[in-house]
Amino acid sequence: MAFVEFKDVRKIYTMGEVKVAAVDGMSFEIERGELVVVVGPSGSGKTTLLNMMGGMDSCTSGTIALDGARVDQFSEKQLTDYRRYDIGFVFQFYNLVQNLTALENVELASQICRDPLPPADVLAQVGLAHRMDNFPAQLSGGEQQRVAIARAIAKNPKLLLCDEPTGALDYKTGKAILKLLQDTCRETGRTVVLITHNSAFTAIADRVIHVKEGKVERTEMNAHPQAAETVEW
Amino acid sequence: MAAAFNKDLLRSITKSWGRFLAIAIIAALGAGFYAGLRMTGPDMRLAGDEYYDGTNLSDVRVVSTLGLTDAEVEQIRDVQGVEGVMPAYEADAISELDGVQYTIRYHSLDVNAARASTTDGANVESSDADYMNRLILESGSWPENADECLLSADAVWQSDVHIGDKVHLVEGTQSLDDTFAEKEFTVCGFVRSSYYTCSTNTGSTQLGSGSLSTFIYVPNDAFAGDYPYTEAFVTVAGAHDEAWGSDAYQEKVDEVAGRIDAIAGDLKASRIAGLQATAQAELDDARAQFESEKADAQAEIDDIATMDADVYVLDLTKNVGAESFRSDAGRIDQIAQVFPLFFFLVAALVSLTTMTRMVDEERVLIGTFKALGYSNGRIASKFLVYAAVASGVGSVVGIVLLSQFLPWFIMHAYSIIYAVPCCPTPIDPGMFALSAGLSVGITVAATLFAAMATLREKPAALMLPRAPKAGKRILLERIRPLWSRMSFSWKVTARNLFRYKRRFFMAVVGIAGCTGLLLTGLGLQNAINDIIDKQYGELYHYNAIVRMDADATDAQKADVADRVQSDSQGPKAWIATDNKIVRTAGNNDVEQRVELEVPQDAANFGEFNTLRTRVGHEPLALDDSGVLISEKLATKLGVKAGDSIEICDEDAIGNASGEGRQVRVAGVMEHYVAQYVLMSPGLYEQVMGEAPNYATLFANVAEGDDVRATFSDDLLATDGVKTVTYNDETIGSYRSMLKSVDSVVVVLVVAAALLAFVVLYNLTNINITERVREIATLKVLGFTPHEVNAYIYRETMLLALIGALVGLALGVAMEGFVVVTAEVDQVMFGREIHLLSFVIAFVLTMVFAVVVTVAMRGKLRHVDMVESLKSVE
Repeated sequence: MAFVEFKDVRKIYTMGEVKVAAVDGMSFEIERGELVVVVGPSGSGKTTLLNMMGGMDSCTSGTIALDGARVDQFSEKQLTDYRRYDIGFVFQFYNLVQNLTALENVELASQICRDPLPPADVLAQVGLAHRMDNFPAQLSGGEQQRVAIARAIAKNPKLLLCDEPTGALDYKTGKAILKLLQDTCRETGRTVVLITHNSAFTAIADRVIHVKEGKVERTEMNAHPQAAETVEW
Repeated sequence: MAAAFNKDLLRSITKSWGRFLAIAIIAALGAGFYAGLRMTGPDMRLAGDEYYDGTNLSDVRVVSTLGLTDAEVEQIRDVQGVEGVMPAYEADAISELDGVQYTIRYHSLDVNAARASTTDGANVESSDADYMNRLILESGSWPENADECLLSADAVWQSDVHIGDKVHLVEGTQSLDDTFAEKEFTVCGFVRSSYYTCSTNTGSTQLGSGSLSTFIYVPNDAFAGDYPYTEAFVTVAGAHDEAWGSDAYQEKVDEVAGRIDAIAGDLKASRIAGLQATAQAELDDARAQFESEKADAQAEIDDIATMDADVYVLDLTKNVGAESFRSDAGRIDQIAQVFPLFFFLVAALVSLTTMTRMVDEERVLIGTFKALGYSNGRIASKFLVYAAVASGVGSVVGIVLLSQFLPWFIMHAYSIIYAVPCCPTPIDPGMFALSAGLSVGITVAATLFAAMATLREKPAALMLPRAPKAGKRILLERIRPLWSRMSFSWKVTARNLFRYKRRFFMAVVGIAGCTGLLLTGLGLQNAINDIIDKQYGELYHYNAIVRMDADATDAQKADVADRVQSDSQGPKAWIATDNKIVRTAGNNDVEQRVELEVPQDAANFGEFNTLRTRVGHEPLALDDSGVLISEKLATKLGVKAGDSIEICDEDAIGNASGEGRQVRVAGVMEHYVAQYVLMSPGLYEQVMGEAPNYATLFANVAEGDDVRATFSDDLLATDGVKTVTYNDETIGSYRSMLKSVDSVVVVLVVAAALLAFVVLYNLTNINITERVREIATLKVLGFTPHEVNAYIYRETMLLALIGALVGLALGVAMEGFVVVTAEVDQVMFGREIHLLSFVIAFVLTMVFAVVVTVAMRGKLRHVDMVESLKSVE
């Protein structure tokens, strides 16, 4: 049994008489400890897929399983716990709480988890030991994204999900973030799923899932993933 | 735990003061007004209680038509539960002071006890438990001699009255010599008496016009030696420990009053025996000298035995001043139950819109919290705590301030009528909790409602910025001819207005409330000023009243008529007047004291007193088919034209006596001051069985103090004339009584202004913040600042306009409610709101709207095009 299993998952939005299928029958598997890159053009259903995996959205039909548990059948309460204990989410636009410092933003997440990592340590890990007491408005884009990643990691989740984490960042900063994610995966053995529309990223992944028009086009395995700092685009 | 979460909450409070304050202020208004108004009635009763306890006001008054002597007083003292007994003399007399005639009630004063007492202005300390209704000496000194007197410090005198002035008795209910030892008094001081709480209504009398002008205190020796005590004042043991006006107090008093009532028979018997003994003694004395008159004297003694002796036991509910104070406090209670609810409604709306805005702004944040695994409850708590803290702080401040200010203010306003020297404003913890609870509860409930819908959404949906509300055609568009003529900017304004229904509703309700309050205040002023303006301006057409003795001869009346003819201008009318008690036929529960007027020339009486219905001004005729009654009387008795009422005589105390005589009501006339029943001479003869005695003359005297002085002197010198009064005096005293209302109007206007500002400011704030992209886009497109301002302000002003119009309608309803509830017994308030009031209320509301929009100009100017247009998707 795979760590993450998607079987014929569909997400259909109904607006009046118009039905739009954002995800139209996706099936794939992910093993524990893998760095997975989901790649596809805009509007292909990548974000929707990630949202469903992370318990942020429900599916219309199909089954979603994480570590044996049927996520698609979870109640509201179970979904909340799922997001709390099992998932770490990194957004494209960081979504930090403006009123809290970097350290407090990480504490925000760690304070509700069962087995969190020490917030200060995680911030040091992502290279922000000297910026712990700054507010998001005082941090650059790259620094903010690193705080967001620290927040996700500090939760000590089973699954780390990243939605276009480098989308708002420049080339050099983006590469640094990718390296951080790859290192996290390698060093802690955590499963990382990353969404992007940039096909160059697929080089660093263990598994690549190509998505097009709401369906999985093909899945590839990378025997020798490249180190993030060597990837060019 | 989750301390970081709490930090976010705290900082969100400090980051958005405007929002916090909007909720706090509206909560302060709602809770403050509710608590303040609801505590006013109890505070008034408390003031009365403190005043009455402090001055040892008697709880029961025992009156006997034949008077009382020491023997009866002792019997009363022996009744169980009686603490102190103060026998006293009392007599009414028409008196002259500074050339003006007044109808005055004279009371006896135990000068020694008064002199021995000490006062701090509100309480009077004395070692004598029998010294009751203790006077507070405001200026001057206590009487040294029997011919000195103390006047009321709060009375309204026609001329300037000083210490040293002389008061000279003119006439009493019986021969003055039988009642008084002194006929002229020198004023030695001014006092305040808790027995007369109401300074404009001293009570009614059988003399003169039927109502007393004021009271005077004279030493016991001022009364004739063999004049018996008129009454005995009694304090009930333990009654002062209870709060005056409460059920517990009434129970204690009823118990003892009942026991005194039980011995009423003994008191009567004792008095009759006493009278007989005196008469017998006189007879014995005279027996030697006047044998021939022995038979007469014996007959007199026999008559005494059959004398109608009545003993009345009256408690404070029969004291005009205390009872009217109590019922006015009750009126405030009634207004307090309803009026503040409006503020709560606006508070709910303001909280709803403000918190909805906050939830919307933090949509993505809510999504993030959800993504992190925070439960709905936890996330909701952020907004609920925010709302609770804001409204909690506001409520506490509002209650503390207004629970002190409002009762003080209202009592101060009433102090023109009620001379109560204390003004307690304790904070009732129960009411505090209730008001704060209601205010916070409403705000939190509104917040919950605002947050609910958003919290139910999936995190994924929350992360996406909310789709702006879809554009749709509005109803107005269907009206093609109108729509096609509107300019583009007006079309946009119309669409915006009608799409955001919740905001539309909040603005309209808030502004309507403001206009409504303004109109209520102004309408109340109209209603009250109309009493005098309509009664004396439109209805009455005479300004002087000459009253003759009941037994004046026709010759004397003719003489007076001639003098009046030469001294005054215009026609005069002879009237027969009397005080009666009127009841609904077949229902003895509701009665009302009225003045019965029978004009000699009923057909032409309309020249003196316009007889018409209030609604429609339909003229009414006075003829033998029935009586005309004043409108308030009709409402109180529950009768209309065609129904019947009963007319009874009035006894010395003011109760109905004898059989009621039924008459038909021919019409209900517009009338504002006091209660009247008008009857034609023919009907009078039919019903009463005798011809009316015309002893009153209505006349018109020219303006001018000297003209009037000459007129009065001339007439008073004539035989048979009792009093000459002018309507101006009545007008004067009513106007001062009604001044108290002006200050209430001021409070309403200030409250209305606050309401308008909070609502409009909040609304404009939300409007701008929510549409910042729209506004930035306009700027980018090249709209001038003026055009950008106009874009927003068109909506604000249009909302204000609609709100003001709705508010006028609302105000009519609110004013109607207040007028009917707050109406004082003695008068009927005008039922019309003047056109000017509508105009002022409307204009003032629009002025507030303009002030707010001008104040918000800065915010619009600072919308940064670049920052606002940054996209997040």
